[in-house]
Amino acid sequence: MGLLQRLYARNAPAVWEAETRLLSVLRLSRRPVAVQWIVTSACDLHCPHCYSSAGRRTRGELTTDEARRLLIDEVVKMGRPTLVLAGGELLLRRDIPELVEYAASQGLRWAMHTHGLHVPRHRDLFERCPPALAAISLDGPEDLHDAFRGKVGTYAAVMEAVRVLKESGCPEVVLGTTITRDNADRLEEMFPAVLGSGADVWGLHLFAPEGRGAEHRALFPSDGQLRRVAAFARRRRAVFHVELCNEWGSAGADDLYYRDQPFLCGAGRISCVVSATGEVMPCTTTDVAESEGNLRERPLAEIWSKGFRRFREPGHGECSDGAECWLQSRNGNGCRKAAFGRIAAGAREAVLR
Amino acid sequence: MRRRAAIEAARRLLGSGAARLGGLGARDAGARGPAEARAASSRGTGGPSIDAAGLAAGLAAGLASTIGALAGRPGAAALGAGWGPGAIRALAVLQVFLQGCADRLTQKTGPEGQDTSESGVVAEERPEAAEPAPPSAPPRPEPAVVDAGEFPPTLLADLEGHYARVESSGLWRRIGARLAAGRAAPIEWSSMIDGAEALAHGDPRGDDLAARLAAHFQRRSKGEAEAIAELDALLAAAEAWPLYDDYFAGYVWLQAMQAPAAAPGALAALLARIERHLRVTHALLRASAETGKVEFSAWRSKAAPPRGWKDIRVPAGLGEAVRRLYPDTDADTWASEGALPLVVEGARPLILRRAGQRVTIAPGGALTLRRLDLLEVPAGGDVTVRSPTLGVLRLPAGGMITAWTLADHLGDDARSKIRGWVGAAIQGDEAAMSELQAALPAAHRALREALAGGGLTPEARGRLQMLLVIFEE
Repeated sequence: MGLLQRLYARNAPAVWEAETRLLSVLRLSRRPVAVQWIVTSACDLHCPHCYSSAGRRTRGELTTDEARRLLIDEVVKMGRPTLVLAGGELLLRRDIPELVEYAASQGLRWAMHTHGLHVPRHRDLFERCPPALAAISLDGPEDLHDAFRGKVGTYAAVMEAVRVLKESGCPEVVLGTTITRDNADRLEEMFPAVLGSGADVWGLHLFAPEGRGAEHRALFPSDGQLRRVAAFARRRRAVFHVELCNEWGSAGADDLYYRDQPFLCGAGRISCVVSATGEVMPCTTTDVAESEGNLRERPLAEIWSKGFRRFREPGHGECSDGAECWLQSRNGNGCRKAAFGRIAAGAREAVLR
Repeated sequence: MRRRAAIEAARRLLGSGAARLGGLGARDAGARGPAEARAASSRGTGGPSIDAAGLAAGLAAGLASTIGALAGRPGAAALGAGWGPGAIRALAVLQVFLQGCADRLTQKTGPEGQDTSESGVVAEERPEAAEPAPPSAPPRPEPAVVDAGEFPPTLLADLEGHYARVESSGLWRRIGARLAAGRAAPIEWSSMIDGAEALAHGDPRGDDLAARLAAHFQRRSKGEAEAIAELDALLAAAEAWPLYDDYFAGYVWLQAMQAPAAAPGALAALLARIERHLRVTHALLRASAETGKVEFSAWRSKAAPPRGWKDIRVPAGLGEAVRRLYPDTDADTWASEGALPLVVEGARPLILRRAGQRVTIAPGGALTLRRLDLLEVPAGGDVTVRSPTLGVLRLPAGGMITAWTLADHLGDDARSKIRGWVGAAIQGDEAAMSELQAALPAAHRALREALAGGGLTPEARGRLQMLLVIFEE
């Protein structure tokens, strides 16, 4: 690790802020690290927490040709950030193998979010072009997962999908659990299965009342649950790669107990999300008012370099650094104080030395 | 015009650190002369006697001009994949570095300057000269107790080649993961014993740990009890390698709490070792965040490795960072969770043994009973303590109380209250869950009994298990 890197590691949030100010003055934007594409809103499950209200295919989704020209070719021009494919359920789209192979032929790393049901029948694709990362949703122990997803056998499919992806050469398989009121207290029960699944990481997301989730606000965990989940994650990180995801916001100086890197909000700054119909959004919010433009009207690279100014302003702008996830805050679901506050305060309690 | 505005923006950008440095450098140099300015510049950093302020001011001025010139160009753009991102990162790092220098020179309080005195300590909890033991108390031989305030003397020397190997190989992590999973599913002891034996690397210290751990798992597989002294030796063997792991320390605590009764001195010694172990582990974690992690890569070629090749790379400065951070690092959740505030009532004092120290809590004094604490009740009479939520607890004369055994001394009202909370928690009452979480030393046994009783829905079982995890890990 060089001197610069060491200085960066010691002061990452401050350096990030300084970098933001520099880029703002120079009217430059960072090269994105990842561009996520909501491949389709079609999904054969109907989960109550789905942020994209997935179900039926939306009219006007990008065609195969548009995906190649307006998305993949543009992503290549933007310096080849990782192309993350999500949905809906991406594997329901018939041209996925063709698009993935095209992206791979252009030298793009790709990753995906899936519910796992259709992974085995795409095994050939994964063996030819293994994703750099695959995230598979796991909503609870078997009874809860199947009930939540509305289909018996989906839990078993998740475990099978992990196996297939690992055998296909995917280097990092993440089991992603969206913490809700229903599953927050069942993590201990899930742990042996997560460990035995072969997954590399257990990512704990936080329910956001976006998309269909907005109709099920009661799914947001209680303050006590937030605190218990944070404590659980903190303890189990010692023995397995458990990570609190971005929706939790920053834990401040305690971030190193929850994450590999200090929390930095990437929305509109190192990543963006392209909706199924081509709207370019800062993150996975489905509120089209947040769109910076449609890639059918302007090139993605141009939208990226000229848009998202409010996230790139010095002084944190609208990003989530050092605070709640901006989207959770807007939805009135801030969790930082409940999840991290008391632990941090407790840690300052007197200890005789 | 545009260029002037850009330069002005650059000045503003660098204003907080660089302008302060520039002003300081000029002020010092002008008012006190070069010699004093040099002295002032080295005062904050303890570094070599160079005109750091002047140098930094020059750098800052150069930076501002460069940025101003760049900002004067027309249009907005995205950084490409070339040198641009690296250059911007380097500029940002430099700016933060300069700002850090400015803060030091102006003696702004930084992490090292923080007041680490125990301002939050309740007066009665401060280390005091131990009160003379009551005349009837028999003298007890005291084992050597680790002082958790003392940094392990050989740790830095041992970091390279041992700690690094264990941490990086992931062997221990796998054992820990299986133990954690074993809370919710049966443990395959044979694989645990194999895993423990695999820890040995032919190094006598590694062999010792592997043998002790394998023997420990062997005993657990047969349901045999483990003595406190054996657990202390097991943790000491891990530290001798050195292996520092907070999950392991917590595991040893859990085993110790279920071990046959031991002399207070022996248990206090083990608890102090666990506390120090946890603090070192967390100091290592914090240090790794500064310097980068230890990396391990096995030699994969058929050819012999080049001379001097090492499979371990310990980042420069890791050891020193651990030593620097240790005094300000506590036992993390072991200091903050699973604790119960108590006030000593009546006329008799109580002895608190914590982190290798022995403190007398006088009547009227307050303490927070943590999982790594031991309370000794002097012979000659019971001591009463009051919990704000659970009322009075009578601690028997000559007794030894830990967070694990506190529930033995609950009054009927307190037991009834806890049973009520458990019942409500089973029904999903969040307020009852919070009460239980705040009183875990008193409530953990009732939680375990409710779980053993069966008949719970998966949701209710999950809620009680999550509370127990917070107490036991």
